[in-house]
Amino acid sequence: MNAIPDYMTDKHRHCDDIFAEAEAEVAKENWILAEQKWQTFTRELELHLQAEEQILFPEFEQATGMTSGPTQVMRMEHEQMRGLLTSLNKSLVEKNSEDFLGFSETLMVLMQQHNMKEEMMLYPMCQQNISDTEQMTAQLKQHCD
Amino acid sequence: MNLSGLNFSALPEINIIFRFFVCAVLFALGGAFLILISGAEVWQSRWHPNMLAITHCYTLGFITTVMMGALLQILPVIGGIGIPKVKQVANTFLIFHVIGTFSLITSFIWPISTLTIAAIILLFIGYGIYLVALISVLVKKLSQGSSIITIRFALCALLFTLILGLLMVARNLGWQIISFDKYITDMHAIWGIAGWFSLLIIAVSFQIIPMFHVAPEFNERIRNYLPKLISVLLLLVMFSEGHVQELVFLLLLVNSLFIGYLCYLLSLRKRKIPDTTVNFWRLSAVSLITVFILYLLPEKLLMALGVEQPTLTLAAMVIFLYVISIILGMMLKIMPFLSYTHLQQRCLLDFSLMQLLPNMHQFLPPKHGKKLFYLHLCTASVLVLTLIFNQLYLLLAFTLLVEFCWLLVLLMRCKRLYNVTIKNINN
Repeated sequence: MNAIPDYMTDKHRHCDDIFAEAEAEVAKENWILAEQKWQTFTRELELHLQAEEQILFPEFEQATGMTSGPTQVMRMEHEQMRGLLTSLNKSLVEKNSEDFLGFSETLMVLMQQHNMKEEMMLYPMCQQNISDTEQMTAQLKQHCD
Repeated sequence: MNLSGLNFSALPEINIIFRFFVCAVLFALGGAFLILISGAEVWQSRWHPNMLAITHCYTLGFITTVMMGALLQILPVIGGIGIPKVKQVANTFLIFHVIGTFSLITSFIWPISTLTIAAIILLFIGYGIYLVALISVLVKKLSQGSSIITIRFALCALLFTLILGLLMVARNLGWQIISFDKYITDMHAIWGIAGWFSLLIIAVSFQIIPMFHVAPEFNERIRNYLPKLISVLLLLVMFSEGHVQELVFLLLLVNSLFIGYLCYLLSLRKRKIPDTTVNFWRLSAVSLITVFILYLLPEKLLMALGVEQPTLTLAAMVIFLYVISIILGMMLKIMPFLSYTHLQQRCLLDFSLMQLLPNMHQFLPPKHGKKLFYLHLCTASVLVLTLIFNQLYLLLAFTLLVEFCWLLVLLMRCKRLYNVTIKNINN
């Protein structure tokens, strides 16, 4: 898996899987397991967002000269997701499943729409414009794994 | 790849989409009102003027209005590019479409040439503007995903359905441009249902089933070949006058397999939380497969089962139980999501404002969505009964009125919360 789109898409799916597991545990009000799954999810998500913001996007911006284009929008969406994570953490601490599921539905849809933009447009553009994609994928892997 | 053409934030204003949805619901309510005043005899023939009017209230009025509104939202997300001057295009289209469709529906009941001419001109201009704007985007080298390719096929089907429809309406004015018989009407209906509706449902499903439910992706071969297969079958319908029944059988088979496979994917979804949208998908699957089975039965057996108008019955089931079920399920997701996304855009410069935003369930509480599902189930059952026992039409009109009034309430409630939140953000 040396192509940027393949690796990053795989990370999206991985995050989705853990997210769904955490959400299912909250729905069952199984709070201990929910907490564990949720911690794993937030850690994986943060690593993924950091990999994009600190490694992938700067390289793409340098290669294309586009600093205020799609990467800027993606960065803003990352901040929106982080904002939602704060609300979700609060609901989890309060053991409020109704609030949690309302926010998790929101985060899920926001995350999926965001992922779709990255997978269909941004990652293929990165693959096309970054000169050493194998090296880039290796750097991303090193950060996330 | 054209980098300069990318616009990740090309979402149309939320008011535009809500306007489309509200107009769609009003057409559905109009259909219910027509059923109420038309009497039992309209259920005896698909050619009855009032039945034509009722059919178009739901196909052109409800389904197409929702789909055209949703496309404005879908394209920027899955294609990465929006329609240029989206506000002007959407508003102009909506005005022409709404008045044109209203004229068409009333012209079926009162065949006054002024109404017919108005319908032809308004629909021609309205769809012309929208389709030119859409095509100008879709011919560009967007991400070549299966959804975008399928949307292209669906729009071709819409164009062909419209042309046939307008030519048929023109016949009422004595403009006999092509020969007309039952075959042309059937082709108009088949291209509308199996082309425009089904292909757009398929295109959107490829994206939203994995996205909303964390379900596995559709098989790549299905994504690549299914839309092409349906398009080829539709093309064959155009040139195979003597074999329409066999081709409809194949179209029903392919679509039934698709929806069956979709439900299988849903059963594998990782997101195992209660979700009314899943119930809408299941209802649509059961309905389409039932239609397919009924289609296989000999006419005598259908008659024995009380189905005196097989074509009308099956078409009504496909439109109301298959297509409209899916649309309602999707609206339950789209309405709160749009409200949230648009409010979020307002918080981009100050993230502390995000605390003011309601979550998706506050925009549309799950119990309200569930109520819509039960109301739809109730209406669907009464529709099936009315197709057999025509005198139940009053009950059908009543259930339709209740169902779509509730949908309108959900829309208004969602919009009201949006407006209140905007006020809080601005203060």
